[in-house]
Amino acid sequence: MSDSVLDVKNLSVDIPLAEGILHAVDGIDIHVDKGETLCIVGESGCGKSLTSLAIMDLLPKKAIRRMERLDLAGTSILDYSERQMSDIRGSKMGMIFQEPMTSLNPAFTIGNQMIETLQRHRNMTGVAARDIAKGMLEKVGITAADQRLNQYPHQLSGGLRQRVMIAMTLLCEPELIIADEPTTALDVTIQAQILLLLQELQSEFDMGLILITHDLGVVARIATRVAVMYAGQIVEQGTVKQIFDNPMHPYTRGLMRCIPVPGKTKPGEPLGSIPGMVPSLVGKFTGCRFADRCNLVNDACRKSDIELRAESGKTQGYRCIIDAKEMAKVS
Amino acid sequence: MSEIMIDARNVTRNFSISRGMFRGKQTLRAVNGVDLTVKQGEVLALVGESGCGKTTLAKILLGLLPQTTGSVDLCGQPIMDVPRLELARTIQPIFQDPYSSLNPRKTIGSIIGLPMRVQGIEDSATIRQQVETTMDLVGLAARHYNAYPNQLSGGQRQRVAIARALVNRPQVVVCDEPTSALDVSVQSQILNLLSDLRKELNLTYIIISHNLAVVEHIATRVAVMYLGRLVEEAETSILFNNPNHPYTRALLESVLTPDPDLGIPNAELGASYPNPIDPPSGCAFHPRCARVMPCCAVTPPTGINSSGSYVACHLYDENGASNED
Amino acid sequence: MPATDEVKLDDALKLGSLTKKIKGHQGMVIGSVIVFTVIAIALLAPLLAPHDPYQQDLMKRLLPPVWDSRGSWEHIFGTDHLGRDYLSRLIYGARISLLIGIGAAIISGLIGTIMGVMAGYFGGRVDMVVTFLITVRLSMPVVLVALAVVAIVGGSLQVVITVLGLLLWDRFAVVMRSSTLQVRSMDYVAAAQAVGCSVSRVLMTEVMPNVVNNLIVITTIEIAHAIILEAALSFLGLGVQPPLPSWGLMVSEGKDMMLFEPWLITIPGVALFLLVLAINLMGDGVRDITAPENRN
Repeated sequence: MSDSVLDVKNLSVDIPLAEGILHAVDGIDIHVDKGETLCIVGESGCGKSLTSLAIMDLLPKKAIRRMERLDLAGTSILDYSERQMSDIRGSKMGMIFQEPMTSLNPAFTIGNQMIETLQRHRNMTGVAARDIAKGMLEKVGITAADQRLNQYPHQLSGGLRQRVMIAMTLLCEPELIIADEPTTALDVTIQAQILLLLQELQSEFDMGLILITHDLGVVARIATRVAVMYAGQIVEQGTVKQIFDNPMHPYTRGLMRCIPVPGKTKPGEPLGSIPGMVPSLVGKFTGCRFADRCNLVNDACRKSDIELRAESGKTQGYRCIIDAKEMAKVS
Repeated sequence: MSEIMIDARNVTRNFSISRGMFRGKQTLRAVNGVDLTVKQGEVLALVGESGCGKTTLAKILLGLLPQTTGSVDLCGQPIMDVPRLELARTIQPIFQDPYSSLNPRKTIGSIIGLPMRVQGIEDSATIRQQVETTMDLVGLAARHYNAYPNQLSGGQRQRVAIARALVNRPQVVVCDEPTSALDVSVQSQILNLLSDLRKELNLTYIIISHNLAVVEHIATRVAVMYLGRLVEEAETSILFNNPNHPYTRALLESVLTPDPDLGIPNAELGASYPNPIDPPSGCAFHPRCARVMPCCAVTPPTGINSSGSYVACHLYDENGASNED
Repeated sequence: MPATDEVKLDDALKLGSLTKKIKGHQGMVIGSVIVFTVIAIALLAPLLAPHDPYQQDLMKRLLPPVWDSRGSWEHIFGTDHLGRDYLSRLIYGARISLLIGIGAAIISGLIGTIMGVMAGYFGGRVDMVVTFLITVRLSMPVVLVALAVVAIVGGSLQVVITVLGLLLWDRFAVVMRSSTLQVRSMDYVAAAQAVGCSVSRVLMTEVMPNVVNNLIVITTIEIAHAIILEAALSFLGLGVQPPLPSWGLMVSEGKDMMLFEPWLITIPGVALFLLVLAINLMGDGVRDITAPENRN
C-alpha cells in the first residue's frame, strides 16, 4: 500500500487576459506522502495559491488548468467531474484558508456548519453528528465545546475560528490537508499554537499536509520538505534541512539574506535585499525568470528554459545553470 | 543628554461601546495608565498582539486622538495645545497598508506635495522641487510623479507614503506596521531605507510591530503592551536576552526563527485571549500566565523602574520578591 | 501584497471575460446617444416641432399616426383629443421631463449629499440626527405626500420640481453616508488629518473625489425616478397642469380613448421608458469608466 497521498505532475495554470495569456503556474510537480508536511513558500504573485486551488479544482472559471497526473492516495482524480470532486472535497481532501473571518459562513452556527459537513460526506444527522462535532472541537483544543456549537462565527476570535476550520476539515478524516497561509492573519502567540495543533493532528491522523506560506520561519519549524516557488515555477526543492542549511538557488539564498534573525543578523546592519521585480508572465517567456534580479546572471541564463536540476541520490533540486560545485563556492 | 521628544504620563483612553439596545454602554479601556518617554534619535518599538492598544496609543501620540486622562507632551508642550500645522511639521505617520494609505484619485506628486500645500506653500515650482528631492531620497523614480497609486507596486506605494511623511522634514515618525503588508524581499528594502533615512535626517521613530525579528533588528528600545497596559520596557538587547515579564517571555518564545532544528515552541499560554471590554481582574495577564500567584488575580501590579528598564509584574515587586529567579 | 501581475489577475477575474467589458460600454454608448438626442430635441424644440403644441384644431381631432392607413405626413404621430399635433407635444414634453428630472435631482442631491457626507464623516450625534431624519422620510409615502402638497398649493412645474426635490433626497443621503463611512476608514484620510488638513479640506479633496462615483450613479437613478414620479403625478392630475405637454399628462389625457386610439398612450409611454432606460445605462457606464481601478 503506497504511502503517497498526493502526486501531481506538470501542473500549469493559464489565465487569459486582455493583453495575452498569463502563465501563472508553469510545470509544477508535487509529491506528498503520508505524515509528510510539504511547505510551498514564495512571495506574492508566485502562483502558490493558484497551485492549491488547481489541485482542488476550485480555480476561477476563466483559469485553465493542465496536468499530466493528479493522483490522490493512488487514485487519479484528474478527470473527475464537478460532482465527484465535490464528493472528495471536504472528505478526502480538506482545505484551510487564510482569512478565518470569511471562510466560515456568518449566517449559520458553528454546529450547523459542522453537521452539514458530516451530513454531506458521511450521511450522519442529529445527535450522532453533534457528538462527533463536539468531540472534534475538543480535539482541537476548544473548551466548552457544547456552547461553541451554538455560537456564530462572529462570536469567536480569529484563533478560535481557525481552530474551528481545522476541526471542520478533520471531520471526515481526510488524507490530505492543504492549508493556505493558515496563520498569517493571527497573532504571534496564537500562530505557534495553531501550528503545533496542525502538527500533532497530522501525526495522529497520518495525513499529508501542504502548507503554503511566505514566512520562512514557519517553514523551518513545521516542514518536512520544502518547495520554493518563484514566478510560477518551483526553483528549489528538498528537505527542510537541505534548504535551510544549504540553499542553492540564488532566489532562495536572497530570501534567506532578507530576513532579520534575532541572534544572527546584526542589529543596525543593512539587511540583504533582492533588487528588481517579478517579471511579467504574460505571453511566452524564455530563459530563467530570475535572471533580471540575480547577482550571478550571465547571457546563457536567458537563452533557453532551465530545467530543475536534480543531483542523483540527492533530493535537493534547483533550477539554475550553475552546477552544485560552483554554487557552493559562490555566496 | 538627548532631548525628550515625547513624554506621555499615565495616559488612558476609554471608548464607550454600546452593547445593544437594552444593555447600555460599557467602557473599553483601550489604553490604561501608560507612561512612555521617547528621546531624540531613538527607535522605540511598541509591541503587542491584537487588542493591546498599541494603535490607539500611536494615534494619541500623533495628536489624532485625545487621551481621556493623563498628559502627553511633544517637545515640552502639551500635544493638544500644539497648533495643527506645527504638529504636522513635527510628527508624521506611516501606515501599514500601502493600498489604503494613498488616495486613489490623486497623482503621486500631488499626494507627496499635499503636506507642503497644507503648510501654506503655494509656489508650485518650490513644491515640485522638494517633492522630487524627497522622491529621490526614498528611491522613487522621478517618472512616477504623474502616476496614480494603482499603477505602482506595494513596495513603491510604501515609498510614496514614506516620502509624504518626510517631505516637510519632521522630527518624529510613527510607523504602524510599516512592512507587514509587503513581501519579504521588499520588506528588507524598506527597512534598510528607514534606517538610512533615520541617520540622514536625524529622525526619531516610534515603530508599532508584531514582527519581533524586525523589532530586534531596528529598534533601540522596546515597549511591550498587553490589554492596554505597558507590561515591560527596556533596551532591545536587554529585553531580548533577558525578558522579565512572563508575557514577554511567551511572546519571544513564539517567534519562529528560520531554524529547522527547533520544533514549534509551546509557550504554554493556555486560555484564550481575553475580551478587552471585560478584562480579567488584577493583572490582566494572570489567566494565561505560567507563573501566576494568588495575588495576581486580586491587584494589578505597579510598575517598577530599575536601571532604565520597566516591568509591571508581581514577580518583581514586594509581593513576589522571593520568587525572582 | 500583490505585484502588478497579481493586480491584473484580480481585475481580469473580477471583470469577467473580455466581451462582457465591451458590452458594458455598449450599454453606455446606446444610453448616452439616446440621452443626448433627447436633450438635443428638447433644446431645439422650436426648430424641430412641425406645429405649435398648444394649437387646437377641433376639426382634426384624434387623427391617427402616419403608419395607420388613415394617417398623413402632416401629423406624423397623429393628433390628440383637442386636435393638437402629437409629435410637437412629444418634443416639447421632453423639455418638461428633463427639466423636472434634473431640477429635482439637483435639489435632492444637494440636500442628501450634504446630510450623508456629514453623517458619515462626523458620526456620533450628527449621524444619529441624520439617520433619524432618513427614517422619518422613508416612512412617508412619497406619492401621497406629493399629492397632498400639490393639492393644497396647486400644481405647476415649479411646485413639482420643488416637492420632488424635497422628497427624493433619502437615497442620496443613505448612499453618500455609507460611501463616506467607507472612505473615512481609509488610511489616506487619517494621513491627510495628520498632515494638518482642515476638516473642510479633507472633505473636499480626500472624501468627495472618492464618493463621487456613487453620487453619479444615484443621480442618474434619481433623475429617472423624478421623471417617472412626475409622470405619475401628472397622470393623477396633480402634477403639471394642462395644457403643458408633460408626457405623463399626455398618457392621462389619452387613457379614456385607449381602446380605439392606442397611440395616445403608447407613444408617450414608450418615450418615457426609453428615456429612463437610457439615463440608467449612461449612469452605469460613466460609473464604470471613472472607477480608479480601470485607470491604466
